[in-house]
Amino acid sequence: MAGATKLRGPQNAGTFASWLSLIGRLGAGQVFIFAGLIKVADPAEVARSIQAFGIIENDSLISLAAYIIPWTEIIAGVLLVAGLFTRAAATVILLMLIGFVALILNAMNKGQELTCGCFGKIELFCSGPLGRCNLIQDGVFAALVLMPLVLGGGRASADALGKAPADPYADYGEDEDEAFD
Amino acid sequence: MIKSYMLKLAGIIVVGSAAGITNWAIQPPLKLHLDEMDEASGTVVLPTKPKQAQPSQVQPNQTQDNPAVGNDEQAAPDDADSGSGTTIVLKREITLDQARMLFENGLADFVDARPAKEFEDGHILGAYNVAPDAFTRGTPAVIDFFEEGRRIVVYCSGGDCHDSHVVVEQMMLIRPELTLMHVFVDGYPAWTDAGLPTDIGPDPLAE
Repeated sequence: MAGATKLRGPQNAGTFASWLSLIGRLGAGQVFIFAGLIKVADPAEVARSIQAFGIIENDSLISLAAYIIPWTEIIAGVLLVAGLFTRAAATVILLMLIGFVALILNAMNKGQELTCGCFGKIELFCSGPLGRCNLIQDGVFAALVLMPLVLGGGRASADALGKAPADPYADYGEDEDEAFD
Repeated sequence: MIKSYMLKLAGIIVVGSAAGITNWAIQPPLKLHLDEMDEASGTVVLPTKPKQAQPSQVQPNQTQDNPAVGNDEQAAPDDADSGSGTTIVLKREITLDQARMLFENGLADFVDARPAKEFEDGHILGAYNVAPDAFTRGTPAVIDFFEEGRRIVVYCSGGDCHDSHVVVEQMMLIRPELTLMHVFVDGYPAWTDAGLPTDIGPDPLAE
């Protein structure tokens, strides 16, 4: 790559954005893969968490959700890390995070002392009952996932494959994902 | 462009749901509730003697909390002298008043499903400590001590605490003959709020 003085030149356009997007993709993606794998391994625990929130009353729906949520987390996480369908995957994760935050706020409002169940029984970032820490945690994930959502997958992504790798204008938005905004 | 994005978005959600539904379909159904107790197992005959002090205080609440409780308990004070005893029918999940009644009549062993640390800080008098973690390290020794036909009440910290349900499930898996197991749903906080007897210190049977 060119020297630091030339970083603003058109040849390097999008380099910074690519890195930022990569950080966000890897950060949020692997957390979601990890969370999903843990939950897939113990669906009964997930079902109990969902049951404790008291939002869904129907037992079959709870069981279904206990399987669908972790699998969606894994698939969206893998796509995000790979940079395939980056923006769509980032949107799915963002939507899930919004849902989780809504659930946490609802539980806090009702004064329920719930355990998170975000990572099954493992307390990765937050311990104790659901609270502000979980909101901050989800906020950080949302910030991470916003990077690829806004910037696209960047250079080191599956979305960028098949496009001329040396094209200095590759990040200027002719790729269909990037032209979205 | 937007159409392609929406398609991908929908695709991810559909694939995720499909994977989840497939997984759900091939797995045995998740057990979200303990099996309900049949009426015969749930029937408790109270000994007549210690009842006399309690019935007026305990039983009016019981009928409100649990409609399944037999009406014949209203006759308790009269029956007490005749020696026939009072029968009530308990469900799998019991209320504070029912737990207290079992405790005061010595009709049940109590099992604390909270972590050892919380157990040491305070537990129902005479309770044993069996936390769900204990089952991951093998069978907790305490379980062998419970007698068949003896009622066991498992509790944790109330609220959404599910550990008592897990312990009941695990204990019934290990010793299927222990059918008279109850979950005291309101748990330890309700017990202390009611000012009922507690104790501190570790479980002597825990390793």
